[in-house]
Amino acid sequence: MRAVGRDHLWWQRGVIYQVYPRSFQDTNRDGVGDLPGITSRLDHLSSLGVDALWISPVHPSPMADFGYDISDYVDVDPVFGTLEDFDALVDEAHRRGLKVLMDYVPNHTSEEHPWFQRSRSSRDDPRRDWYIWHDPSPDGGPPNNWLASFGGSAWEWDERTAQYYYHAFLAQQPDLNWRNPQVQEAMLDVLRFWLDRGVDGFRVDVLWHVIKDDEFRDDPPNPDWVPAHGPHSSLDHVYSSDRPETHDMVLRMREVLDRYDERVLIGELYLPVNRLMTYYGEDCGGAHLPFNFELMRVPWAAAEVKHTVDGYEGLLPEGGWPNWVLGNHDKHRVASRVGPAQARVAAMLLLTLRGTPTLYYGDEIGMQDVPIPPNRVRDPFEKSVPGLGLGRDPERTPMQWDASENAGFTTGVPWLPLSADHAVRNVEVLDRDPRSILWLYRRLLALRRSEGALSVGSYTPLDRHGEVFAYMRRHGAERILVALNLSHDGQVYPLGPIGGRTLLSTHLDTDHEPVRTSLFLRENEGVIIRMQEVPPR
Amino acid sequence: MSEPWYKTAVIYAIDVARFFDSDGDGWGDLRGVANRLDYLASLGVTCLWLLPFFPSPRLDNGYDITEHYGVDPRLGTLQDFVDLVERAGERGMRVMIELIVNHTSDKHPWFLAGRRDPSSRFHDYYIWETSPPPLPPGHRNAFPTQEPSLWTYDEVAGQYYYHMFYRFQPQLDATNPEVREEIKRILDFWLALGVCGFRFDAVPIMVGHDPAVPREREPRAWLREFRTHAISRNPCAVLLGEVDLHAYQLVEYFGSGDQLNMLLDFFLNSHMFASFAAREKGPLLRAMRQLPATPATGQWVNFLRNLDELNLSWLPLEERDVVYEAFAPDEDMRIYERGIARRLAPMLRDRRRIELAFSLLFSMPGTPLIAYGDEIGLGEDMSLPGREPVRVPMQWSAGRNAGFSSADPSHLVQPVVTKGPFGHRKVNVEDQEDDAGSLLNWFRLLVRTWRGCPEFGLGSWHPIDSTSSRVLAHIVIWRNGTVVALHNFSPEQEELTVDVTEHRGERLLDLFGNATQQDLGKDRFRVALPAYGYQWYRVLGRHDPLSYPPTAYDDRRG
Repeated sequence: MRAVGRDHLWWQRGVIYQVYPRSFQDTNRDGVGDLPGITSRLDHLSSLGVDALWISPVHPSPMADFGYDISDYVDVDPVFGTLEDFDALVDEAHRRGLKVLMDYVPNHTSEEHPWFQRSRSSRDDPRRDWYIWHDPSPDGGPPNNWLASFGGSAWEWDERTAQYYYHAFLAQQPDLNWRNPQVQEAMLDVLRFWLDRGVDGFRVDVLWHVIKDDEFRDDPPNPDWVPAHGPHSSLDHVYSSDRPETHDMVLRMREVLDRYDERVLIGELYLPVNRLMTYYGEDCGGAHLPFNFELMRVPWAAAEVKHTVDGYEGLLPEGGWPNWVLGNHDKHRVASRVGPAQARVAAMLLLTLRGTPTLYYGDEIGMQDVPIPPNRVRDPFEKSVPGLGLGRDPERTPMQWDASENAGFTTGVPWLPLSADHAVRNVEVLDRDPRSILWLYRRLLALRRSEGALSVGSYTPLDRHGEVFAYMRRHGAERILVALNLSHDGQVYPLGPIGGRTLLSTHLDTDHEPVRTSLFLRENEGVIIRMQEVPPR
Repeated sequence: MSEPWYKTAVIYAIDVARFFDSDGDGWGDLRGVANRLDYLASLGVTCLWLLPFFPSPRLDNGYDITEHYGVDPRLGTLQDFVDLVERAGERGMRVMIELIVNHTSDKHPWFLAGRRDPSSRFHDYYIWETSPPPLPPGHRNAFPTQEPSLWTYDEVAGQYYYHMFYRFQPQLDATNPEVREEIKRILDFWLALGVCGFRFDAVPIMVGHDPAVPREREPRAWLREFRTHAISRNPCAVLLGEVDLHAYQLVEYFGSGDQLNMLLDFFLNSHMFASFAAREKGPLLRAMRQLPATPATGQWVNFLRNLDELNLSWLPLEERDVVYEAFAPDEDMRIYERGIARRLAPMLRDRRRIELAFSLLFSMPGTPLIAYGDEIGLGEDMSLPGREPVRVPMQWSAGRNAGFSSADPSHLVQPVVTKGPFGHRKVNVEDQEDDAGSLLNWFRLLVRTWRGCPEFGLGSWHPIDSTSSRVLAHIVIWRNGTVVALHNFSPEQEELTVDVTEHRGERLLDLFGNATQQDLGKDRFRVALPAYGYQWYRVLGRHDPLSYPPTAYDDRRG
């Protein structure tokens, strides 16, 4: 295991890499990635220089929502392998000093989970209250106006027992009733099961949904809604989610983790920043890292990005450790959002901001969203709300390893189509090009590891100039300046009576070049500079 | 829009034979250049211009080529060249080579074949006359004191051939489409090996109107033809023209941006020296105003000295005399009745004036070019004939042969300067590396500072009123940046007021960190420049990043 500084834990210094297991590496020719596949690619992650991998769900699942509909929390779906495969993955990862994080999906199960099967079997079943059942409203319709994320009412009528059950997502994903202490215990046992197997932490799925209003009040309309945002956004979900009691549940999860050494609890939270911050909990006893998705929604311009970063830093509670996410399995790929040239600048931003970064698989080779023909759509979101570009298949396409027919991902038929550029954009080809985005990621990660100022140093915003966003990171006497040109034009950035040496340019061609008093950034260029005072002549 | 790379480049001219000898034969070579890439990168230069390294009898320092597709065995091999390009690229440096197609050596196979057989297609590669027409008045060879004629009788052919340079450099006939096809093949070959472009030798002589040769020439069409061809092979390829003409003739060579990308600015060059000699800004400011506007992709390449003579042809006679008097007091320092064959440092002598000259060069709108050795104040060897005095071997150390070569001193391509104030014990890289106050280290600082000011390479310039005839004050503006440059040509302290009101400037950021300026309020600043002083300032508005000292950076959180 890598030595970590006394003052910071591994997940504060470290970098997390998200693996979407269906798309990482197939070893059994079924066209779907699996655990032995991930194990076989651990060396890629080691050479990249990340510290932990987070694997999206691999539990038994009917795959209505590709593993986020779980029918058994303490096993592995055959499509991904076996529990032994999982243990082998953890062992191999730990042998390389890599941590393994799992997805933890507490809000809902699959409708095929035995708990739900029992729950729906009868109103009198002891498991009835493990889910959220409700009588119809007086007019016979759903109990209230709550909407499902993937479209339509969040209430599903169950004929046999003549009640509605609540599902924040698909009807095949009934929400667990976390107000029931038995549910809490059962779900906390799931954490213990995996912690005992050596898992280093969890990313908690839709954490803010876990508790719902106990009075089932209607959500008010969202005044800013436009149809392009999808029907779910037409309401402001103040009663169906983000209830104050949620924090008690986070505390309970945290209590479980704290009985083990240095395990990390990460919350998936799509909330405004001020609400997000509440999930650190009182005295930071809540989630270690409430996922910060601000970089995935900020318009890509210096003023906006600066506003976002400074705003987030300013709202952090005392002792709260920041984190940044540039891409995940639910959002368009960064190279598609900001373009391939700016994707390099975005990589530098992600890996030089203060706080734990999370990378999404494939971003390190500059993968873009892949257009999915209608007959190959797999995402239930796209199928239920088609045509708005809300489908998530484009950012979930198979990883591109080499120039062979299916990019080395599978020798079968890949479950989603490969990107058209996979013959030239893949790990093998980019590994041979020292200026490639892959090498940029490697260099950035190496620098972050070697420079305390980048991994744990303080953040000081600097004034914006034109399209240049700049900030200083400092650790002890070390000062590192990061200047990012967020435009396709060259830009000037005045430094003042300070200078230094370029540690890295996104163009990967100006190592250790001295700079002084004033900085010229080429188009789409970001630079990392070790600062020093310019000596008087 | 992305700006062309060459507008923010720093070009460094290397005479391969005189830079560094890697194999001990007394001649510098390509591997020697590769050997010194870390030094070159440390200077901050981004583009190497290699003087001719092709097979050649080298009667004119390699500008007499016998083979366009090879390397002079004394200077290396093609493999050495490819390695050099690759290793330079790893350090962010491009490599530019010479395109010498105005003429060949008279030993070139084309000429040998052409002179023997008038019906050969190679005969028509050159310009032949049975009885040459009388020369128009004033029309002279480029080396009038060494080569009296433009037509030389060839006994094998029984005809006269044309040559604007030495008689061993017969001129190619650019009106012949086959010659232009040959040129494009040469472009292809070297672009495929990774060169970023070509310094195009003797362009006006090759393509321009020549009253001595009664053939219709089409300079614009031909240059477009070459440029189109080059960028079809590499969109970033550049053609840097040697066009030594008066300002008003230059625009013809840029075209509308579809001909030569860059021109060596000989016109501005001589006027910089006129201002140094006269100790006032007048001649230079006049020249800056006379230069035509360049098209969007066009760029001036500015230099103090190259590896030929300092050409004073474009100065008014009285200014030329002032320059001669100041910088070439001895008759043997003057050459071809138009110039001075000397190096920068021995001409200017005074360290303050050398710094002033370099600072001025880098502040001129365009791309700066340095001749190897000028960064350490390399001297000259006035005992050598013609243009040879400036082409002395690089001085790397105080050791044997100045560290240039391990060969017996009698085998060196040219003797090392060992005596006097510019001898290798007094002027060399090694000693200057160790001296924080050396010219070399100051030069590095200059290049770094310049590279933080893209306004000079990319922006537009205006003179600003400085009330002083001795201080050139000009401003360059590009996108979100504005820089003011001040240069005092006089040997006395000059005080002046800088007014940046028009540019909404409220503060001046001193880019060299050595200035004393006093804020007069209302966007005016009082500046005192010492003798031969210079200063660059970035103009900042109220909301621009502040030039606070590092101690003022306080943590938001720690």
